[in-house]
Amino acid sequence: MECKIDSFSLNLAQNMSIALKHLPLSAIMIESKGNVVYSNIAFKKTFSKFIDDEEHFNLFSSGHFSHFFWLKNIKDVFSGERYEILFEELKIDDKTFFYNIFASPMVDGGNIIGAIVIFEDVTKRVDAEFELKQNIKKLKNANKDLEEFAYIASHDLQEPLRMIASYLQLIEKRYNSLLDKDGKEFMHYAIDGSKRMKQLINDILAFSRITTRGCTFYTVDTNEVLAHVRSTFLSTIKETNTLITNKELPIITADKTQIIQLFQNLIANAIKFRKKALDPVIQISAVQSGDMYEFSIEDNGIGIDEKYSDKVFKIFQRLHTRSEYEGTGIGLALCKRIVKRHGGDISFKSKVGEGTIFTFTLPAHKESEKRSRGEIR
Amino acid sequence: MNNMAKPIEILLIEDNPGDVRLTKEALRDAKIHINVHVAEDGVEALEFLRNKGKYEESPKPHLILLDLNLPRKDGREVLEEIKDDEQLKKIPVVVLTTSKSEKDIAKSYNLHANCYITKPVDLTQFTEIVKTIESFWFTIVKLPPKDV
Repeated sequence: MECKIDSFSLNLAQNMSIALKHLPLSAIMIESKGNVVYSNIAFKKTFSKFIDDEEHFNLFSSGHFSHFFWLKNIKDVFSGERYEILFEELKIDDKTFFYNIFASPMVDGGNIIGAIVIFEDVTKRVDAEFELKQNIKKLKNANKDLEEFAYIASHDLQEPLRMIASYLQLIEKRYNSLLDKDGKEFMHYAIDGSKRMKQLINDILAFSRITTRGCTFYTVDTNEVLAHVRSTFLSTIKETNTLITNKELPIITADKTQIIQLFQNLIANAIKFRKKALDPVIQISAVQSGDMYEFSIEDNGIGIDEKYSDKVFKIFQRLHTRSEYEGTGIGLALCKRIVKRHGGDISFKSKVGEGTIFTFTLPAHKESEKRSRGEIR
Repeated sequence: MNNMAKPIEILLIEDNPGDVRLTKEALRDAKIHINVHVAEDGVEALEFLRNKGKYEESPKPHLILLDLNLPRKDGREVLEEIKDDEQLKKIPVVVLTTSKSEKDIAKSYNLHANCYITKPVDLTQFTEIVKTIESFWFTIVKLPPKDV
């Protein structure tokens, strides 16, 4: 049968041939007896070790290829079936490679004369997936260890701490009259120390739980979050004559409990570190920034010296004495950990004596995300 | 109205002598006469409740205060055994423990603890709690009659 080829087809064929030759995927054409009648550059390069003689190379008789799963099915291709095999393992020099293999009948004038076989090297992806699985396993174990440690720290440390705190207080109650001025002062420091230790232990636990007890991200309406915080702080807001104003806040994808914690810590700070003679005013807003929202919480308080930009976010770092302001210095460390867990960042701009703006980013809600369930706890 | 001419008997199942003393101190100022019996572990506690061995003459307590973390027989096991026992299950059990864990709380209620209280670190709070337990269970609440 004569095939009429026009110049377009010829050009197309020639160009396709060039494309195939230089394709980064290994490709071969084998005829039904297994002879490799064509192999592209990528194939020659990848499988050079298995090719004893480039001119006369037969896949079926080659020791290296004959055990391949896909070769067993190649007969089906010769009878007209097209198939894909995902994943063939191939060991070259002790290293294992993975390939997706695509084979299609090769036709000439209506007859099947062989098969075109294309190899896609997916080794990197398989290795990456495996490493990912390993890392996830490692992380889960590390998390478990951390949670265990935090539990031990909080639980087992609490009991002796209770003994110290309770009996010091009992002595103070019962024998106060026997203590002189120094004695009373010593007791006071001891009791105060034990109370602070209790707070520290609870804070460490809370800090570790941000990751170990972190929940799946759902849709969160940050307006609801703010409303919740307002009601929690209702009496403090009244006592301090605080004014909290906000623009319409966005919907994000987050762990609701943690976002409430985040807002609570920042707003509590804004109220706590207020100027003595000035009623606290807190302004909250958010703008879209790519696929995140950038939130701002601005106050008119005492401000933070910007040279402490890094220090304030560290766990248990404080900028004031305990007689000036109470607290363990974990608030901002918690905020940073929460924000980081959500893939965002937190920072502040401030002028000492004038006020501070805290800025943090959280992921915007995408339509495909799951909706939040139920009320705010 | 209290027809308790006889003293109130409490069984405190607690292995920490420091906590035993604190609980006794807190109960000292009670308006009613309270006898506090102490069992240091679960095995001793059940012997007391079943009048075994040296506890032959011991009274049945009106209330049990139970710590969960005990040597030998764990507090959770003790709770389960008490609430499984026909003679003992009617005695109210107040779990009084350091653990705040939700698992422990759930498990205790599932095993029919009457209530669950976490021991506070602060002495004043602890004293308040013990006083509240006393006031609730012996003034407000009607306890099961002695013999069924």
